[in-house]
Amino acid sequence: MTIIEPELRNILERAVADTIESMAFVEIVPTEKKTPYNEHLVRLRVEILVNAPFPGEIRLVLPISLAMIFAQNMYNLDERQITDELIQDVLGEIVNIVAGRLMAEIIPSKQTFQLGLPQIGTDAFLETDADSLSMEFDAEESPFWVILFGDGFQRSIA
Amino acid sequence: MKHIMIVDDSATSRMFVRRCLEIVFTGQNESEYSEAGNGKEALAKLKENPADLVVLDLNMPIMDGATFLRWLRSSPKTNHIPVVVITSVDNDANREELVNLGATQVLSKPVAPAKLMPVLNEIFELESDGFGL
Repeated sequence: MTIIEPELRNILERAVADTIESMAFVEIVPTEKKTPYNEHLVRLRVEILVNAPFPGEIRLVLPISLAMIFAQNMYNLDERQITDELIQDVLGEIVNIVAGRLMAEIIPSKQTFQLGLPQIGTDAFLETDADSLSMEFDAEESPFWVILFGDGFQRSIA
Repeated sequence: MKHIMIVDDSATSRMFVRRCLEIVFTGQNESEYSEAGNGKEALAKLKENPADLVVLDLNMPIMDGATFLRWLRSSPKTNHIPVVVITSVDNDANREELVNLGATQVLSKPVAPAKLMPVLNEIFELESDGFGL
């Protein structure tokens, strides 16, 4: 795993924090700690592809309990009223907006970009590879990861 | 009464947009809202019940927002309908493309009443009121 460039890290932090704080009213703080894999921690994974101008993927991984908080805050509903479908829709919209904000910051304004549709899944492991960049955040005392796949993100701000 | 159609595959996004619209239209004549999850569904609904405004997302399954705009602007029955695109895919280049396709205005997600107000004011010439936007 490569070390994230400081500038890209700052941009990603702003995109994630601004989006979640304004939509879900949860404070997101970046952290340097490496939360270990915990088999009792049920996680959700939501990802969106970058289709242009370079191939890439933006992925969010978070505990289901945190996703529930996001959904409750956004819909102002009790936990019992939050369905799996609602949680998936909330996470899909969050990753969509984070991706858009990130891309708008890192590519030239005169260049178009395209995103795919959000995809949701369960995730037990934080899959990363040599071209991925990962950041961990704290949110409501829960870990929350954002991972960028594809070397186009770093090349864009080079 | 204004009929506003919100087109977005995300129920969460439709909910946010509707909340913003309701705030903006507080104190104005009542509005009615309809929703569609993709461009194809929106076109079908517009044939039955034309709208005074369409608020449109871009990335949707079945028929995306750009294709919907092309269809909307190609028909004499619908090409007059103002369209405000609210999208995460927003920069100068994307905005220019959308305006060339026929978008009336383009706003970034997540939208807020303060951003929506001047746009809708220009489209509908809303009466100003005291909520300070």
